[in-house]
Amino acid sequence: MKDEQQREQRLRQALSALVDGEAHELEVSQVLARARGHDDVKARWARYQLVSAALQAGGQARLEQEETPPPPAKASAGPWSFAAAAALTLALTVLLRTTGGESAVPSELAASPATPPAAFALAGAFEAGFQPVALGGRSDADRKGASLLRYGEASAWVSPATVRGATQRHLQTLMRRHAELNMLDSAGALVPAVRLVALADAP
Amino acid sequence: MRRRAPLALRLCLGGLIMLSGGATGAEATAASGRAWLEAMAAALRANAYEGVLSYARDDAVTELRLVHGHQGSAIYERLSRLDGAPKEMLRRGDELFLLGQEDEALPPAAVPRVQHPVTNFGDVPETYQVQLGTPVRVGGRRAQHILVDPQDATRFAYQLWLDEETALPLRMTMNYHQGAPVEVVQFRALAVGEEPPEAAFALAGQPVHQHPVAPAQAALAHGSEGVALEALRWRIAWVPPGFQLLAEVADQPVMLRLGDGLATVTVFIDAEVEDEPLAAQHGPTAAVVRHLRHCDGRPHQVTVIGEVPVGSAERIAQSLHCADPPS
Repeated sequence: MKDEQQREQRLRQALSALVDGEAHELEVSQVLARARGHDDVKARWARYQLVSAALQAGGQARLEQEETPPPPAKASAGPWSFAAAAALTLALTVLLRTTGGESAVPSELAASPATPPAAFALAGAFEAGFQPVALGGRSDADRKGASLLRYGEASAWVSPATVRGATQRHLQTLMRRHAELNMLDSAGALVPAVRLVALADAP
Repeated sequence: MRRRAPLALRLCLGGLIMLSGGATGAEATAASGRAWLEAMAAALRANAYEGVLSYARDDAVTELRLVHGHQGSAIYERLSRLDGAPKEMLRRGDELFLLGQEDEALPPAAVPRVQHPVTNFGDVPETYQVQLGTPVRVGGRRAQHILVDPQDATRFAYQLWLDEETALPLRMTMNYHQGAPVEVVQFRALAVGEEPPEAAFALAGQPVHQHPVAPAQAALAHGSEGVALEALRWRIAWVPPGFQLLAEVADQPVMLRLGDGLATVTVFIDAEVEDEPLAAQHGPTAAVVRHLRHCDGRPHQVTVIGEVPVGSAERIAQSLHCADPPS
């Protein structure tokens, strides 16, 4: 019993370090490995991210204005960069959905095709047993644009969760047609087939 | 038996020969990078392989199993989703089956009569810069990193990590220009060399969709801004660099296919307005809905969907206009 409590304590500390960006690469992989198949760990992980994102949100806007654009993505970055990016992305997505998704996005961000939305969700990674990969390079603009939908003109942004019913079904049908056409056009290329088969069916 | 040099060495020698012929270092690097990508396209077709791969985009990671082989000279391939509801693509030579997908099939008029290049790394357009990266290890294998950069933010960039021995792609990502990935395809296990048994490509159950595979069309000639539609009274004033009109389908909804050989965009124009205007980016795929008036003044719904940044999809939608505006 005591061992179990100590393990819990170590895991809590490791998760906290992971969210704060202080975890060693090896520690990250250990936490991810331990979390696989444990719903309670996953739930704690999600809570940590939510709290961390909320704590950082206040100072983040100022930092984003001051920081220079990030360097190009580096292939040599460690697994931590992927894990951290995924964690923050998920946290932001959860926050946006929880708060109704309203977000003040500058008009220049909305107008620029270079503004990247979200990367990956770690919750899915747990379920699928996905190994974090070294991909690096991630801008603050990524975080600002995470999984957002924009209605009408540049001022109003809402989360994807608010697109429901007939519009969602119609869009998914058109996206599937596009993916199917890509596969038929692709002369056997791998990625279009992967996209089509991986694409979720309409609810 | 004479042993062949490893693929990496042969491709490097090709670069050195170019250098001795007067090409600059950058040109030789680009040529070598393109040679790697050509080798990858050939390796994907010619080899027999089986693997498990992960596909990640903004809201999910999906595991898939891939079996690729041949019956005679025909390519046989099965791609199965391992997460969630079962879904498969089965390619048997010139026939292609989709199983486990319950939505409507493509309208007959929309099925391509000829194939247009999509994600065709064997012939990367000149509007992209190809560079050799540093050799690294991916999944315990030595891999050559290749960067395919559009040099502007209207299209996505690509990064590939190719196995040094076989040139098969161990990992592929689609990235924002000088930024983060929006999509990752990575093999988690890959076995190469042994032809799968015929039973691996058996058709179990009734396929939901079945398509004949159209013959391939020659590579695109790359144009500049704007595309001219042939049959429809719509015009597109702006497309990303290198994009061309691939096909136009006059059936309702009207459908336009645009692409540059790597990325594609489909524009649906519907005489009935169903949805509110919106713009979304779902992983690499942008979706934009706009309401535009045609020549007769009636509103139409324009939906642009494609593997471009959402700003580009929006710009395409907004550049669409009536061919003959009322005077």
